[in-house]
Amino acid sequence: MKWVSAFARPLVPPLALLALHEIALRALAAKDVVGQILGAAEAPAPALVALMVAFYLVRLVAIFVAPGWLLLALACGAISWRRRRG
Amino acid sequence: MRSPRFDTLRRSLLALAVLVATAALVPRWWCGRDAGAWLEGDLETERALADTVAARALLGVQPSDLHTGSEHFDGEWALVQNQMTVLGLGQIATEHPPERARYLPAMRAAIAGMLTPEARAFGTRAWGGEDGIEHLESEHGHVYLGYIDLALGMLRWIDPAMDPSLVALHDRLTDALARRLASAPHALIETFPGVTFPADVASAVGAIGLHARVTGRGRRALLEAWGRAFRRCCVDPGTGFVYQTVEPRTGEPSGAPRGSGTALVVYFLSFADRALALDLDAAVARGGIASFLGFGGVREYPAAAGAAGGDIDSGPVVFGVSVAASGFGLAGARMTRDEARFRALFRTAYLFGAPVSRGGGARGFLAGPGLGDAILLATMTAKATEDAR
Repeated sequence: MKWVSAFARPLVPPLALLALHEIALRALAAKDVVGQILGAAEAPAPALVALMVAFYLVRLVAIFVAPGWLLLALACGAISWRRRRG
Repeated sequence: MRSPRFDTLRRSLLALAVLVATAALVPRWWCGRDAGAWLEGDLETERALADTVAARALLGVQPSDLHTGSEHFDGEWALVQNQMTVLGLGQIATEHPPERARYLPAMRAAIAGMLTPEARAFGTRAWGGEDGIEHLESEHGHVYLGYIDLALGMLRWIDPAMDPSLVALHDRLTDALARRLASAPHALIETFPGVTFPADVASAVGAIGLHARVTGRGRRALLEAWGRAFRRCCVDPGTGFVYQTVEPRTGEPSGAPRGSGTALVVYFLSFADRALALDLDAAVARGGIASFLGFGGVREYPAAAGAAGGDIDSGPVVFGVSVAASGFGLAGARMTRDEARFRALFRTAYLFGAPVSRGGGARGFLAGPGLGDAILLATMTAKATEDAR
């Protein structure tokens, strides 16, 4: 099964990032954190702003970087798999 | 023979090319894949958001449900949320008549929410305790009542069995706003004492236009005179954008021309003055759109007027683009069937709005549960109607 592990290992970081994004999305939606900040008449608490900024950074990476990262990870996995088999 | 360093460099460049190419192509496809369905009025797509908005309206939306940190803005946003709920659901019902029965209860609930004294307490306080609905004979502006009037007009359009007391209120409210519009210097009714927001006046004008549509009793001369005055006093000749505030007695601008107000005026005027709405929308399309990698936004401050920060009207302003202007801007793009602009704005709404499942097939936006959902429903189902003034 070593070749399976060699194929799958590069996929773990981008998939973990996508999972983190999904978990954060659901958690923030349940607490309505982003809605509270966007609709605030006065400056919201810095911790809330930091949370929102962190979420959007993860979202930007998940949407803009993760697709290419997954593609490269698949290519790396395929190369490793071929080396181990060949 | 190739050196290992050359191989490493070659692989790095290839990896970078893959990352850049996917970043340029995949996000614009992923974030925009529902744009066509919204543009074409696909019922299943609209229902997913409409059901979320309707469910919230049925629970009742009051100022105490908003948490802006300001009692005044809680009141304003609750009023806007209820109005946009009625307009969005009503637009779906006009496009898909069998949906009337599905959404009428929520539209009635939203109207009921707008008609409580608490819902307009922000205006009552601003006018020294004078309740705008209880004193329709007053000469005071109270033009925020246009939001209620426009929603009443939509309900009347959709609901042939509208409660007679609401029909009577719709007539009296429209008469009062039309009378104030006719007698106001520069055709600018005050929102609060000494201050006029042209977007609020546009809501009243849209309401008068929609009243004409549903009753057949037009006020063409009044609206034509108003349109001329509006172009003269409220539209910046340099950018074609609408000033955010205007001094009601002199007709002089007291605020900068801004994207959020302009895009909202476009939507409201689609119910009353199509030509003016299209002219303003053309100004937005011409000088107000910023785009990058297929994602677009509406500039809060058009380039000619310089840049400034965001406020409660615009929401956050990032790279000159505001949340409110971009959300309201979807209406003009849909009304004019400007597919490229609609898709670009939709992608941004998807990226930063972050749609989430609300269970049972319903969907909403992380960035705007309540108010944001209602606004996006109204703007993404907006359509230009023939003038019936």
